[in-house]
Amino acid sequence: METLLEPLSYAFFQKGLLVASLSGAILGLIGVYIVLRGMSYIGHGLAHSIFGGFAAMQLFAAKFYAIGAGLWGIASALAITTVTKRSRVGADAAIGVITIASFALGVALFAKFGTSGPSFENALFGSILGITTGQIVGLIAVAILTTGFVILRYRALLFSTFDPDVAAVSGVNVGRIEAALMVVLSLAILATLTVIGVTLVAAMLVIPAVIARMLTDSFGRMLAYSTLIGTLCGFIGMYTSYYADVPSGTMIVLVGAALFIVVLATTGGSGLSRSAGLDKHPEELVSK
Amino acid sequence: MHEDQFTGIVGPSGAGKTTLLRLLLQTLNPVAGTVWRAPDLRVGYVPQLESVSWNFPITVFECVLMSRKSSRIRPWSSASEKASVSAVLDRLGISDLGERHIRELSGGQQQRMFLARALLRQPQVLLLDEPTSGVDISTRHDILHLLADLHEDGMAIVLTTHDLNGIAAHLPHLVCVNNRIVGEGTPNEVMTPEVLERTFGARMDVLEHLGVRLVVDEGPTPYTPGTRT
Repeated sequence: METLLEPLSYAFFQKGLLVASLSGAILGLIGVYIVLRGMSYIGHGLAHSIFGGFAAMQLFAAKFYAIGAGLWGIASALAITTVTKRSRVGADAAIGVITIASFALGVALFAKFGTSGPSFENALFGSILGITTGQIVGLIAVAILTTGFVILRYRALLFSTFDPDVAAVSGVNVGRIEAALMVVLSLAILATLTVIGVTLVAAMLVIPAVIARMLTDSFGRMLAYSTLIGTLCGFIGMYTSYYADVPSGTMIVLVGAALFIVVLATTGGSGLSRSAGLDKHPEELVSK
Repeated sequence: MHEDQFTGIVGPSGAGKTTLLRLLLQTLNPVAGTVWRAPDLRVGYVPQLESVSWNFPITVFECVLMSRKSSRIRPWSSASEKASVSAVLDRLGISDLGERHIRELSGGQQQRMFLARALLRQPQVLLLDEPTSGVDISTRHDILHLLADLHEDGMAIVLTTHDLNGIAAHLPHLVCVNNRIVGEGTPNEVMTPEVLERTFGARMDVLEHLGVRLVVDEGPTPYTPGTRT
């Protein structure tokens, strides 16, 4: 018991627990929409894109580089939806092209003109201990924004995710809802990037949602389960990272992966058949 | 279209039936010509079952309710919303399936669920894309009767179909399309060998049984073993 309570006596660890749990919750919640839209890889892409934005913005807007990086990410996300809508390019291909190009541009700008910045390793794998009060406030603000968005636009979000064509006919402004989702997603990734890391944030966007999908057939319950699972992964991951002495982001993702295996083993075929085809766009799914 | 319209759009695959519906729905913009629609017209739409993502985690109740615009801040449904969903499910005979996942329904029940979703908005016009593909004969009858009842209640209905005998022959008004309109009128007027050949590009015979026109596909010459050259 004493060993369990030991880390709690450190202020940095308490802060870390809060931040990790909150990050897990945000990504778990918004991840449901991303996974169900067949855009699982957008998390991976946007995290890289925002990382590129970080690098580039350090040159231009020293103090406000986080805001600049956020705008960089939002621009990439909106570019993906625009390209997907207006051309024959699928969402997966658009994500691959746009986000990695924006990542490359940021890194190229930084390599050419940059001199100093946060250590690359911290940004890649997450550094929960170096988190500032400003970042915590940002994370809480994003958590409120994400929750508010999901609650206030619940039906419109659900309708446009399930059946965008009929939603548009039924008075939902699908274009606006999708753009708003991309903005919220970019901000969620921006806020959690420093906690979980560029390379790992995508996993936390997908794992809780997929586990939740294996557990339920109801949309409302999937949202609740996914948020809860994300929170749990953040909390347990942070805790175990203290003992394992590895970066918190890696442990958070590993806890999620372990939970995924446990749920897969217990739900078996029914869980698999529920989560089958989640990586496909609705239009590609023909019949039952 | 007028208020008491009940029209079937008939044509082969690729003739532009769904495109025409989407033009009416204004989810597609015409390359030439214009679609004029009354600004506050309430339209209900029932999509083709093939276009639905059946693995989406959603119950019948959730699916039907999503078409109701929420005026409240809370995402969960109010008592009056629950009552109106129950009423429409009841009317369509699927009131006991509300908590089921959408994939667990039969083809006919799925069709009714999407009809329920469209009806919840109390539409003035109902558009249906192939409402009887993949359902059995008795379900097809039920759906046809249901649509006839809705039409009696004053709803304008347009549906697409390639089922000439099961659906088209029983509708009051048909439009035959094959990239353009090739015929329009009552079944007796358009279900003729000439119009059908222009629509489907194949010879068809038309018989009459109990006052209803029936189309017989001449088809290719039957295969007889040993005759291949």
